[in-house]
Amino acid sequence: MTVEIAGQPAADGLAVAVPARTRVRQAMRHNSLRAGVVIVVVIAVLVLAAPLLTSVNPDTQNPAQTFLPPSPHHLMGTDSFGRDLFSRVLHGGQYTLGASALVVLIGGTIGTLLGVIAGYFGGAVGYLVMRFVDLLLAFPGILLALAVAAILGPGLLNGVFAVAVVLVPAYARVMEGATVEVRHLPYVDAAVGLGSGAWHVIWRHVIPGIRSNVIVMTTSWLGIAALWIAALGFIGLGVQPPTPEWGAILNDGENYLTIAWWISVFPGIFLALFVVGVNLIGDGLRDELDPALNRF
Amino acid sequence: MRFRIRRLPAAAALVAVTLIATACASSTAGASGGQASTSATLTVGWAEPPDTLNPATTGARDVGPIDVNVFDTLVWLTPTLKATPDLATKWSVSPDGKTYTFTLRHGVKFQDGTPFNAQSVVANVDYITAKSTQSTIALGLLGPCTTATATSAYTVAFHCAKPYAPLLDQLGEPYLGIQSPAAIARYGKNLGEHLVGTGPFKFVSYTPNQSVVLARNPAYDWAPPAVGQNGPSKIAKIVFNIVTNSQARVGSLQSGQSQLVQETPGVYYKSLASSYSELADPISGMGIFAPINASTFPTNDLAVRQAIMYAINKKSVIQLADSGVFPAQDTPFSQGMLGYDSSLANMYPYDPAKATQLLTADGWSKTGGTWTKDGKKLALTITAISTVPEYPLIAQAIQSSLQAVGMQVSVVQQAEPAWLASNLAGNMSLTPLQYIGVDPDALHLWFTPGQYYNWSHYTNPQLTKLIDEGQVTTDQSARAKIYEQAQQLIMQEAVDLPLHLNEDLLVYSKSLTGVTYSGGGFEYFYKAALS
Repeated sequence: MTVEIAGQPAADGLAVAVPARTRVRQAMRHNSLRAGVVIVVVIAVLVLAAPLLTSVNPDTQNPAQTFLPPSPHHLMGTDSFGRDLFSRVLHGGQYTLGASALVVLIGGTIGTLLGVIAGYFGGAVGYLVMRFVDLLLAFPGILLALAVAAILGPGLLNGVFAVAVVLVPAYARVMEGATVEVRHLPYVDAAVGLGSGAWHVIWRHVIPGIRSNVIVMTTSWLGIAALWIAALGFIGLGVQPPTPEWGAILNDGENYLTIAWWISVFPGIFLALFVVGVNLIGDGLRDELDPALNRF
Repeated sequence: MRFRIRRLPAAAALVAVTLIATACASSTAGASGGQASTSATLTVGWAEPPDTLNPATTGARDVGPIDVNVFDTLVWLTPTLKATPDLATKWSVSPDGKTYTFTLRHGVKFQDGTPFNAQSVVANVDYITAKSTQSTIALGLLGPCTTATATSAYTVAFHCAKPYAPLLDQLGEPYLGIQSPAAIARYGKNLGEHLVGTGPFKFVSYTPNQSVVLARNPAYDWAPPAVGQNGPSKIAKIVFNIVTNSQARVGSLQSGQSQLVQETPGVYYKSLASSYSELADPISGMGIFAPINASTFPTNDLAVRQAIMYAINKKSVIQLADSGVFPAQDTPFSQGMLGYDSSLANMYPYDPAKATQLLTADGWSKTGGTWTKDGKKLALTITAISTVPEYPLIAQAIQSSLQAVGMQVSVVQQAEPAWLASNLAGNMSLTPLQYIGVDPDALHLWFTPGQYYNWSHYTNPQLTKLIDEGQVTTDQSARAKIYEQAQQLIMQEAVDLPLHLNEDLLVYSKSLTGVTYSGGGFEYFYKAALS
């Protein structure tokens, strides 16, 4: 299938000029990449089109229609408040996916910048930045996210920030390594030798050089971010009721699993598929973008 | 996990407080057929891991029912909260209301062989009041009556710093169960792992987070007359298996691993009714209610508080949060408490039109679906403890009721420490919770100035005066009158939103009979039999 990204500059870290269209077509031959893209696109379309697909307000309670099983009228059944789960799961995805994207954007940007600065300048700056990163890395990720969320208090944006904090050291560590590698490539040395300023070199030569790392990191962390955002929602530290969010809906159904499986199962399926899809894309992109793997 | 509040040492007459959710309708333990076995083991699916089993130091409501089977108390509280003889056969109160004298039963022995007498009671009071014990609930139940003296071998006198009417009923709570003085002396801090009482069951073992095992006390021959049974229990052994997950608990009943489960969620209580026996064990106190914050905008406005009272459809809230299994509660005290006044129940019927009318009359105007007054929006915050499933559900159901009349409501789920902090600071409009106790002096904790639990942030000299009078009035009918007036005031001022009765929903096998509870709602298995 053709995908919208055709026509845009292909994401690659190589200085070889290959037409974008060709690269996308090549990439799409990769089975897992194809499967991942299909899954993620289908979920994203369903979630973004939620207001068109259902006219039911996801928060409207109805005491007369609690615990209804899936039926043509309520495709995914209703929960303990009589709310329509189809509407809740689709609208909930906007929060889960939107928050995950925001997490990766914030955490990834800060982490990448820190990593690039540490890797490019090295010395005392690099040492200080990387020891700070080590400090953050010493905490298991979810624990750090929980601690930050507990300090900030419940709420979706606080949850985003809590998870983003975990991504910063992960990105910084990888990007520092990649930057050190790129920093000593001849074309970077050449740019430096021609008198380009540090920020110019970073922006024009180093960041494009580590772009494939950023893309692969982002796809793998996007899934983890979605899981953690849902985890915070599940334990009540994410969005606050009655706002639907996959983790929060999972929690709504947890106490009724044996009598109303549909409350937890549908958001669970969406979350699981999304994470699998994103990981498939990540795997595929790594295969496609890693020059070492490509050549053989 | 169930939320519980530990009592601050300074707070006066605290009774057991646990913030829990439980459930439902009513039926009694009646089943038929079969021969009661005398070697039967009763396995109970229990919801909350004990903090400690020591009655003098526990802060948890769910320890009470375990202890009531091991320890006898001076008085026995019947399920309708009447104080009747137990270890004390009779008692008298001095005219000034400051001295209670109890005549004790002869021939009672602790499970370790120590004889029971006036000295044992004194040893217990000394133990509870000793600073090193760090007693919470038990110390609160004694109130200002912190010394006891043995006036003869079998009479004991409790001396109170000021008249204290709640003492008699509170002596019937298992937290004041009489422990063996020998055990107190011998085990000290580890008393919670070595319970020795005079009750129908003796302690066998406690495996933290797993189980508590009790076995029949074969010497038991001094059951409270009001219980209507004599001699040792029919059940040989009780195993309380701690299963915190409610579905797993129900599952253990369905698979036959346990014969009784407690704290059954409403939806299961409803669906299991046809194939099991059920008992909605009424937990006395103030039921499930929500203090309404009278000192923070917008609920500092009486009209807003009263509008909230009218706007909430309790029936719908209970239906949504608990599958409709609980009876609604419309007064500060649950039925059966001294001072319960059924006439208050009609004060705030569900009437959204009246709510709108009150707000309009008070100068609020509705523009674009939101109420505003002097440029400020009517926006409420309902907090809920996130670890107890029922509270966030109640909060959302209330939210929906209030949104229907155009109030803006946000629900915030908080872990216990954050929730306590926001209650103390008054950073909420209302929050659902429960209060458990056997005496109406509970109002002292919730509605007098400076109290830890004054989460309505409301003070009223007239109300304080009434509550103070209630504490020192020993005449029961005069006391009841005082609490009726106090409740009238609380309801008029709309600082307490009663929601539903607090009940522990028990579901058990039809082969189990004789399940009952002592006053206050503590499950009692002395009369239980398995066929």
